[in-house]
Amino acid sequence: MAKLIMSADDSASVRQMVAFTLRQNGYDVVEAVDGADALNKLNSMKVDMLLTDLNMPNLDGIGLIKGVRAGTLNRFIPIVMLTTESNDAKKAEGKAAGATGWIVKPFKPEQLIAVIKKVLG
Amino acid sequence: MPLSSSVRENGAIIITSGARLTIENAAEFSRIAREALEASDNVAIEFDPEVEIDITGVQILCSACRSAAASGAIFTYHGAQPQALADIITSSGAGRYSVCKHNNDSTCIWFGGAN
Amino acid sequence: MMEEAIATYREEAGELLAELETSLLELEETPDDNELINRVFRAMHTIKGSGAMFGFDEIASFTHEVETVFDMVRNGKMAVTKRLLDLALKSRDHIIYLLSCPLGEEVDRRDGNEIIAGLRHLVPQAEMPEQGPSEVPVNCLLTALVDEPADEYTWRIRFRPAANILMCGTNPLILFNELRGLGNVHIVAQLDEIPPLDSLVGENCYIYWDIILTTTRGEDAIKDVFIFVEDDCYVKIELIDKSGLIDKEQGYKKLGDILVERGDLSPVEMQKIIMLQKRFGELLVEQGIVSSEKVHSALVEQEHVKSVRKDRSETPSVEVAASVRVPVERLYQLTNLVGEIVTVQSHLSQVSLAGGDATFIAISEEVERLTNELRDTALNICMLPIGSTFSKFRRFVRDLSSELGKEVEMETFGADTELDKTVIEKLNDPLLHIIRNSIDHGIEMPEVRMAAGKSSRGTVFLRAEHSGDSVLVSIRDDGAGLNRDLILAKAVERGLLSATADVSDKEIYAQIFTPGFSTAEKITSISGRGVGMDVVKRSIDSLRGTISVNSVRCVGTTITLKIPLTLAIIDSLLVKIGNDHFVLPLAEVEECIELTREDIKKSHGRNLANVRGAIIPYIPLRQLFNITGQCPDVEQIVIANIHGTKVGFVVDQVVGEHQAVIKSLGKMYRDVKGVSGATMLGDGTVALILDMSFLLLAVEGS
Repeated sequence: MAKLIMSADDSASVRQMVAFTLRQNGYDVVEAVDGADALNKLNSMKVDMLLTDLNMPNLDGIGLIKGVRAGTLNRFIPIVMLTTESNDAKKAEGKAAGATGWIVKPFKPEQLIAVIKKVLG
Repeated sequence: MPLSSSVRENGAIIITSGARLTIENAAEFSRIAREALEASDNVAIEFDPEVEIDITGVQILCSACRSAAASGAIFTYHGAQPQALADIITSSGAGRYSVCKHNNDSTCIWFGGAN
Repeated sequence: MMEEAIATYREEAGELLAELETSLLELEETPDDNELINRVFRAMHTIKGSGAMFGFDEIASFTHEVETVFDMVRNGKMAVTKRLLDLALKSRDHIIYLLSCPLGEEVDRRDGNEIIAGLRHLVPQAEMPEQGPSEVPVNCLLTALVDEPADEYTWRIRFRPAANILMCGTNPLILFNELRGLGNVHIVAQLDEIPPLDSLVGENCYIYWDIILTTTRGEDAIKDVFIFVEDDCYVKIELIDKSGLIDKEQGYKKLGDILVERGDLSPVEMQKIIMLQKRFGELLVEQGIVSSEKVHSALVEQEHVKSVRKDRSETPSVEVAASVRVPVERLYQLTNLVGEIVTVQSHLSQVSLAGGDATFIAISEEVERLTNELRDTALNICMLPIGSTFSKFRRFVRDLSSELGKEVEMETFGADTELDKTVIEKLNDPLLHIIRNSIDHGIEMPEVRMAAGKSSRGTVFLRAEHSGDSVLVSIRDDGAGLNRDLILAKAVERGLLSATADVSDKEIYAQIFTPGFSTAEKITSISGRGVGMDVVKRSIDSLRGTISVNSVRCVGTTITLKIPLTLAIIDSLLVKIGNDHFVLPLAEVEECIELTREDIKKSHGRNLANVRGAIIPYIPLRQLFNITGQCPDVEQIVIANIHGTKVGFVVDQVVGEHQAVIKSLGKMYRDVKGVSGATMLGDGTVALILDMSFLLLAVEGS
């Protein structure tokens, strides 16, 4: 069965690109427009992995990661954050919140897939 | 059958693995194993042949084996070891080919693989 | 698709810019509104981030400057002023201009540069960011996928994960698989820190790992594997061997030196132990200085480097150019594809023969010839001499025998016998176990041997030889032999055999493959706990092989494994019973003869056929498989030679030779006996591959 990945990003174009890349590589994708939307969906939907932007309105990426790790259904899934800077402080903050890995924007589709394979096997 | 334990007439306790011994139910599995070894000196696991096992499952088996050895109880399994256990022992390098001091210097019945 | 995403980006950026304008104008009214400042920052941030993704580099680098300024405002390092808002609004206009420029064409930078200069002017001197290259940071991860061909290095890695690593979604096994992709890896999990249940937190990670990796890729490639965990896990990577080093001696560091290097043992303790003049590892464990796991792990390193160095010295550098390293996956892919082509080719042959067109038939025959050659070549690529496995056991025999105080030597024959690589790998553990049993149970202590008139030194013979489409691997020792009566007694005690039944020695000896069967009076550290031979049998079964034991009291025991050469394709005989197709492995088939109603009558229901004077028993498969329907007047007997026993299998019709591409049956059918797999015929129907030796046994048994 194809693995289901949630892509949370407030930028429609990034979501579009991510979803296209993932589907092309055999993953199923569910999208969320911000942290709150993502957390809400993850309360009732089991996914195999979360891919989240950090800067988002309503609930930001760090808050979303903390929320998932405190929940039940998707508590232990791999979480990869999309960061714009290779900013170590932000990465550390995300890791402390429970992120599994990160990818720095801008990235190429093959880099995205490589990172996903790295955490999802 | 989900992860659970049941007591036999002779006082032995059987833990059935259910479909997964993974991080999602690691807390429950370790609790069930702990309670079983507190209640009985003969505990066996019955694996679902298709059971899914991750590192946490391996750790709990090893931990339970230690606890059992310390209190002189038997901790074993019924039937065959599931493929998933053999696979994870190989892929994680957990195979043990010598005696284990945590198991009263006996060989390991869990991680001995095909040896 | 990318065009769509770019269009979406243009649209999205347009909306963000409109929102930006509103926010900036509102900000003019309430310059202290943090939420507004945040909104401006976020808009800039998104425009920049996505811009870079879709190739709007101009937008990305320009917006980066504006964003930097608003980051300072956000952090209270700058105030919102009229001048700042003017410049921000001008930035918005400039971004709209940049958005309208076709991708990849030159743009007018004058306005942009002016705005940037103005913004920089506003920044307090102390807050001036260093003027590094202001490009958008490139992803440094996963660069350099292809390295220059380099020397081979061996690394020692200790990986001690943070306790919460599993809870954070990292699966160490995936990291190990990545390492396996880099080269030759040995992984040893250290279990000594796993606590008893009452202090165990199920989700925590207590295991840590010692990994030895030989790779041509550099240290960066290894670091990349651990990139997500290196900050909160202990990852130590040390170079321990490289091909550039002059390795005149094939050996490697002493066990003690490895442990000291790893920090598992202090040099002082090492000296103390050396003074005692016993086997170093044993002493360390005995005295509780180093755990047996750590010693085991260090020994793994020793073996790994020794074997890497040995391979190196055995491969003259001139030959390097004559061989190419190929990832195993590609080989599997190749064999799979060849399997498919073989199936298609047999369909082609059928169709061409049915059509009767001579040209077509000639072409089809040519394809068949080429396919066969292709098949043989492909299978050949996956073949390795079994000797590499044999030589690994030498050290094992030496160590184990000295541990037990026995004198044992190992002799090998047919080390150059070739077998499929996967098969060889899977044979390693069963062979190890059998040899261990031979030394522990079989070969006697030197005094006992002398008393029995044997030489004090026992021998384990390992022999491999071809036999049809199989390889026979035998492990023979000149030890005490199996105790037939004790095994029988135990078997009766456990209700496996009836005390009164007349059972052959072979059947009695076969009991040692029963799970949990052990006759050992006392359990040694090596074997005797009754876990083992059943696992060996299972491993051999999974290779579609057979295992048999022969033993003579006081003379020795021989265990013979019969292993198919390859797991992929076999030559077989296609037969039909009713509407069903079956295939019989051709290697065991001797001939086919007719069986008429007359013949059946003559044998008076005893299922015996007279073949040129010899009486051969046959098994009517139609009855055995309960296939209904009318059987033809003239049936066919396929006569096979199974381990020297001739036996016939009665079928309706012999279709002809067939190259069976073996597909395993699903898990549901794992326990089905008498069928070793399935194959697909040219037209897509499925034929079961019969396990003739099992069928013979089953019928003999009843």
